[in-house]
Amino acid sequence: MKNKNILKQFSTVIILVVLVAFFSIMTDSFLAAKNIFNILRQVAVLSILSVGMTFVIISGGMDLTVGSLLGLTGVICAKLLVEAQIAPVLAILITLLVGAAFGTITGILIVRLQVSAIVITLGMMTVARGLAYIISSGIPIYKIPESVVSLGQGYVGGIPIPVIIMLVIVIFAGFILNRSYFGRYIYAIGGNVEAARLAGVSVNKITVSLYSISGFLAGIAGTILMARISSGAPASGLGMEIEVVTAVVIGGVSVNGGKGKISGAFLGALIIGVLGTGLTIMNIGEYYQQVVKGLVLILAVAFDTFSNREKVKKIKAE
Amino acid sequence: MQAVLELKNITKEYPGVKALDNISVQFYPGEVHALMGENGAGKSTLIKTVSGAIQPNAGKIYFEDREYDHMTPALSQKLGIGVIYQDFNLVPELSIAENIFLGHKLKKGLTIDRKLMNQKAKEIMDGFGIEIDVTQPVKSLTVAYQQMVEIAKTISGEVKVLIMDEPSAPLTTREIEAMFGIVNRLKEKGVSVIYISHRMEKIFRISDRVTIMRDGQYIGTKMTKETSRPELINMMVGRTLEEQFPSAKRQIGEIALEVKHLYTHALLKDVSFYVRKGEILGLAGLVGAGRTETARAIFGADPIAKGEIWINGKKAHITSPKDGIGEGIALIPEDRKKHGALLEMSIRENISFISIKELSKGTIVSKKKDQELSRQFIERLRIKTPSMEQLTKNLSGGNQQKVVLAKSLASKSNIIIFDEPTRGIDVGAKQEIYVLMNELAAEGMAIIMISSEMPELLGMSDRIVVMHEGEVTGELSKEEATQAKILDLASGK
Repeated sequence: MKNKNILKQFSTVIILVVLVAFFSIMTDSFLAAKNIFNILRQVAVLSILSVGMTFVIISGGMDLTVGSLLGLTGVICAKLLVEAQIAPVLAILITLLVGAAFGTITGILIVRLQVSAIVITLGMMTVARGLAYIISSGIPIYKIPESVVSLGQGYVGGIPIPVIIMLVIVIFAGFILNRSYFGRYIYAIGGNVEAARLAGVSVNKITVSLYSISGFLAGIAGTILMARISSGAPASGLGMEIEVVTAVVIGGVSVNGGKGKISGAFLGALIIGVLGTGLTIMNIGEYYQQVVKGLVLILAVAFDTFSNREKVKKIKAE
Repeated sequence: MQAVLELKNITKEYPGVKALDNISVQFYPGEVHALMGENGAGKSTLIKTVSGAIQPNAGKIYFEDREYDHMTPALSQKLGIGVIYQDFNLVPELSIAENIFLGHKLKKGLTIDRKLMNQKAKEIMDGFGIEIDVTQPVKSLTVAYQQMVEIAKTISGEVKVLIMDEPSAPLTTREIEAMFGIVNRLKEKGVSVIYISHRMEKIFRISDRVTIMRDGQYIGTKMTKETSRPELINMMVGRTLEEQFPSAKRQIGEIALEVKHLYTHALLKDVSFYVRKGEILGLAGLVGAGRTETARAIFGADPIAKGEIWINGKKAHITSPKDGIGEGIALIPEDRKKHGALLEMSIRENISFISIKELSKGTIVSKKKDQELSRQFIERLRIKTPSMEQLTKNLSGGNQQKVVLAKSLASKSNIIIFDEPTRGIDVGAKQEIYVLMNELAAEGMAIIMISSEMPELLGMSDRIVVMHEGEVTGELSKEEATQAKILDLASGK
């Protein structure tokens, strides 16, 4: 059992190494230090969203709002900065709160209406995208202040700022999931929700809080993306939720809940990032990339299901 | 007489373990052949070689004189071997009737003849002595009724050999009687019934012969009439067990929990009783009497419509399991796997789960305290495991039950409700659970024990409260309680 997990964790590392080796051989520029930072910078947004998604999926849920929320929070932050002329710190703070609040509403709807998370978040995903277009009147908001743009484009000690933010979040989240009782509750809810409830866990409260966290992290990611492209674009993050789910599932987080690790999800995000950048450097068009990414998602889920089935067979044989 | 099914020198090896070691047994038509042994003895593995779920490494299977190296599920079904497994194969969303006729739908042209199907299903259930609406979905049934449906499903086809894995374990007396009626009828029809159970008294009532297994080996076959309980236990465990119910000396104190005029929306009507510190209160009744519902309402798992719960002389306000735990109540649920254990988590993570906030600084769990707590309870409850990091799903039923108990004890509960504490647990582990319950009572804990097993109720309880259809119908002291009196009260007389 344990060996299997190690193997699975290990297999994502192998996939990553193989991909990196492949692109290094196929192109000249892939392995350049500048490009590696570039990849990490681009992966930052995906990784941060993956952290929230990992929490939600381990608890047995699903959050499809993150892509749209990325666009919505980016637009809101840009609007506050450019049109309302609010101080950057305050504008970002409000943006993060909006993300968290949106997630909280999503969570409350799931818990109260007892409708599946996929359906609720699918609806809220559309709502968020609509709001992004309404607020921006459908046009990207430019002229973002330099101080904010550096959040997406700047460096500290030679390391891109988004990469630093990403690492802090990933490490902190891994710590919470592994070492805190909150983390153990998340696994328990995903593994056996009724047993968790009977053990005194406030399942509803925790479920709502996970969607809040996911929304909050989408706010951070949205702000970083807006800063990186120095505009609040209502269309940004379109289809991003699929990439996030793909990354998380490749990383060995089970869509059935109860199993998975932040480190795995992070590796998954790196694989998606490397795949995207590598294919771009090889001059493979965006449309073909979509086909590849979709197939990768199916493969990842199939692998997850397959290894589960093997396990079930083994247990039955005992 | 000619054996309908014969196993010859069956051996099944897994890496490192001989699950079956050269087993030979014969099963005759029209006999009830009990298969006994502790968990891990190899009974289930043996059954699986017969049903074709697994293939033996060596040996032959003879069915009506034809020789087979191994069975497949399709072949065994075709030959007329029916199996009722411990974990049911029912489709929760489908109705009782649809489940019974799942494999062989009754057709009228291209469509299913629902009327005929429901009527036939009703006939079968009536034959069990159970009045039930066969159009309701299986998921709305309790475990006991689900098992009846499983049996009905298996015998609705043509069977020559019927294997029943632990069939009587969760059933109440009335249903067991009904089922024995069914078994006897099948027997008269010449069906060979293989009956796997831990429950001695049932085996003595129903079986003609008993085969004992231990550690994958064949120990022996006895005519039931010519053997005795101690002899069978001896063969099963390889040592003599002391008397089944450990004697207990304990001091009964003040009232720990009192339920006053409790009502729920669905079932309970004016339920009142109390349990004192150091006392084991038996809660008896048939399936559907409302015992589990009472336990869940007290604990906060289900809402209360009306009534009060008093704990240590104070009125308690319990609206969620969290409140119940806060009041020092523990519920050890009937369905261990669904409601009790966190199977995908380790023993350690289970044991500390309820009390985890106390083991944490801020939100971070202290690894040292966490491990210390597990070590303490693994030792105290004598949980058999190589490591506290073992996943709970890999443990035997008895050890899983101990882990669930440890989880509650670690949260410093002092009122413990056991719902069918020894269901599906082997003889040796049962004994251990009884000893533990006595120890807990001796420490001054108040214990409520819901049980459908008469010997357990009579042997363990200081007092017995009996329920019938949501109401308390009587209370018996240890001295006055007899099986007959309990049954009278349980059937509403």
